[in-house]
Amino acid sequence: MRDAIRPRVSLVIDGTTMAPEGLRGLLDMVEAAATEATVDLSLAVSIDAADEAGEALKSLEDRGHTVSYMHVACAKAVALNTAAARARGDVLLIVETGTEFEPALAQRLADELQVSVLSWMWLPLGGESSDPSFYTDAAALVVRRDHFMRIRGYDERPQMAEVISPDLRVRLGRAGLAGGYRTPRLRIFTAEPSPAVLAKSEVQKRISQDASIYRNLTSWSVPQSSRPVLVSVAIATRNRAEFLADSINSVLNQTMDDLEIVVVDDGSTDGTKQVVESFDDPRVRYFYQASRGISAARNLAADVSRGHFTAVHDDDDIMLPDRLEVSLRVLTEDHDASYGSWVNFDNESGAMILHVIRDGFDSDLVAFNGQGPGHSTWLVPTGLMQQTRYDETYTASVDHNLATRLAWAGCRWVHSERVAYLRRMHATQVSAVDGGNQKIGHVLTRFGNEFVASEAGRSEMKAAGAGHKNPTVPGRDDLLAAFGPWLPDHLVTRTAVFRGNVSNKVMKLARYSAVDAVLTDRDLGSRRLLAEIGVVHGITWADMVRLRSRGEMSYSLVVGGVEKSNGSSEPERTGASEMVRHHLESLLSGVGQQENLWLAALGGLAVAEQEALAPAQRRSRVVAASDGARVIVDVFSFNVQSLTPQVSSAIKELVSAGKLVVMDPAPNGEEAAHRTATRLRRF
Amino acid sequence: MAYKVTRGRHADGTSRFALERGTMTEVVPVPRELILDGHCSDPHPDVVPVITWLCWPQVESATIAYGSAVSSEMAALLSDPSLGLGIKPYSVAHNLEPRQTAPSIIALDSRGKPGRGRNDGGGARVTFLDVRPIHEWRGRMLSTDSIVVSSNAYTFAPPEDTGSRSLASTLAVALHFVDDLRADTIVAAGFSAGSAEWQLCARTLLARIGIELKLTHHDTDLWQELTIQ
Repeated sequence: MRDAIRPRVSLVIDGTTMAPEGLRGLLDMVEAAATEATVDLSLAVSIDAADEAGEALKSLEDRGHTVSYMHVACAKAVALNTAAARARGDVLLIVETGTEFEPALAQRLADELQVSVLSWMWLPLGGESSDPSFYTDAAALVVRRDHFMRIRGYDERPQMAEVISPDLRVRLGRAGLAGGYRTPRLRIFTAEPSPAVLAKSEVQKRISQDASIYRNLTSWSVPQSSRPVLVSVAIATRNRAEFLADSINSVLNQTMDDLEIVVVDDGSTDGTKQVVESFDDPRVRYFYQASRGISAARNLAADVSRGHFTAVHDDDDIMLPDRLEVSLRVLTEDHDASYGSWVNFDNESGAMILHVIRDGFDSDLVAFNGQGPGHSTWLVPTGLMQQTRYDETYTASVDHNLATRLAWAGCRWVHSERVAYLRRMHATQVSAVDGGNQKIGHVLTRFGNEFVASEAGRSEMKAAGAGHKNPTVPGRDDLLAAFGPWLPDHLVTRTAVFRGNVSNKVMKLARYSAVDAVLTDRDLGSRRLLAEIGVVHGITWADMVRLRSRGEMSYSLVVGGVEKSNGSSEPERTGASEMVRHHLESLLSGVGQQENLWLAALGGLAVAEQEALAPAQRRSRVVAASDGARVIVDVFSFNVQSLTPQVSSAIKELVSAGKLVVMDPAPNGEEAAHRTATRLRRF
Repeated sequence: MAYKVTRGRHADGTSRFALERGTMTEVVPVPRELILDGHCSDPHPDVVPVITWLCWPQVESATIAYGSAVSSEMAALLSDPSLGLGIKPYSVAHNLEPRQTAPSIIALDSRGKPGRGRNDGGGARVTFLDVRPIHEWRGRMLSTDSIVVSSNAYTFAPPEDTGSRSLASTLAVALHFVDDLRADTIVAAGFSAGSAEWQLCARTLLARIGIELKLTHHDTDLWQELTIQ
């Protein structure tokens, strides 16, 4: 039932595609609607329209309303997310472009709705009294602002552009955030074509293709300062100062931003506080307690956490960069919490061993024989952690104990089927110093699982549990290739490969002189830069965090001759010749049907020779420099069917003179690529 | 049908009362299952919608299939706008027998300590119900005047209400035993009772299934309240 709380309603309007006269009409309506103090307006407009309606908009801002000036071509999801994030109300009435509404609508919302119950409300169109179906009413909706922000607003991916409204509604529902509250007395009219023009099945299919709840995890138009903390990473520590920096760095290097790190120091005497405070990041929060044990420390972390979810992390372990993103993506309507696999590494040798826990950790717990999800792989709603709490009488196996009790309470776990973190094996870890208690903890957990069920029930659970498998996690076949780059600095030497605007990216590293090799590919005619690749040796964890903090994640890492992408780059070599060779291989692997003759000239051609090949579809110079070596190759591509006799003759002459080499395009896969690579090695 | 109530027994020994959605546009607030350790008898069909409303009051406007047809009287209440409800049962029975009751009280104390010694002759029989959090306790116990059962009812309490167990979800647990005990009264002491609006709705729905709800504070003598019976 509703509490007597009057919400402050914000009208959120996308006016980015409105013509100036339409915008002025909208502002007149808003003027009438937003006269009361309980209603405010957050409006997104295009810069162009703002020029035309500048005075009216300024007047709105002067009266405390919010106007967001958007790029003309911005997507509707971006405009609405931006405006919603800047809105001040507890409840958002989101109105899309082309929608008209009763002027007093917003005020009536403020009068009639109580925020404690309202989660979302879908407004019937044109006063229709029947329940609106999700694909015919995408004109306006009411949603609690905290709920909207928690699921990170409208999906900004281009492929979702036409279904952002029904998708938002469905995701709110998956998160359990909609209450089914409707009021047919309020009317809203849409002037734009209904999304029903899309076939119903197509809309449903598109929404159903991604069953996740949380979107825009790695890129969101909403400014960081307006975002709620989605995940609190809880670290309990005691006298592990030597490992703690690695642990925190690995969290700060996550692909998603909206996190905080809660470090609870359980009575350390080794400078742990100084290590934490050395991080100049407000997301890192430090709490001290006189030594009360790991369970009490983790309970304190849960109590002070502000994130909707808690990700457990240990002070000596290393979180893989996409761990939080993956943990969130696997949460669907049917799952409350996630867990994953991990890799043990020897802190002296770096040797790695994969640990894959079985999937299906739920109420069939008997089948797990006391095993629980690996602690530092968890992502659990913070509210559940606060309610259920660690058992402070335990000194070890606290994770198995709590995971089991969470499952008893109905928490539905799902396996991410990915490696979440690297677990450091060293002399002072719990399993090394408190192994006895850890084993007893496992036994007790198993006993608890079996205590209540009947004999038949136990048999049934064991049979069901036999169906749970170890999932096939990516990277299991080559642990060094998959996870080597994330080992601690003392175990690996990393080389970073940057693509695109190398200068700009390396400047973010704050040591430009560290560029060890660079490759440029310029059009021979216009001198336009077609590609640039830079290589920097000796990348540390601190470097990676620095790049991350400046928004740079699109580089690759090479460790021991094996490269691992930290973003979207493909494998890369680091010497000048190797860089060129690989760049040419990359070009050939992307060849289309129209470019079926590729030629390369080592050392480059004279200007006159270049001119003879001017009709080429591609005519560029690749230059790579590394360790004092410099390699130049001119590259030409043609469509054989359209070659003129003059060009054919020039090519034959240059090939005969040994100045040009024919490269095999590789549209037919590995064989052609192999031939190309073989030929290129002649360089 | 927009929602469906399911009741089942799990191999781990628990009974589960769940709300499921019928279409992808409907929503079930989290948590979606009320779990009780031990198997429970099937409740009277009119008790099911009351348990549902106690667990998921947010679902106040929908069509719900409760598994069995509810009485037409209960159906009328569930769609009574004066109670803020707009629920339409999927199936209605026009000649459903009402619950059988006797002078029988279920006593709930938010401090979780079952009392003893109040059934020494005369008056209504009192059964003290102690609902333990399932993350701390497993199983159930029964004596001649008390039931101890573990449940995840505590997870239904809003986070800001921690420290005071939610009356609504504890009542939902209690309703799983009212038929076995023929209860006609529930006395609840020390719970955060919610708004007057909520209380009116709760009392009305409970009255429809033959149960009077009495709320007392901790500083009111629960025993005195029971003795008055």
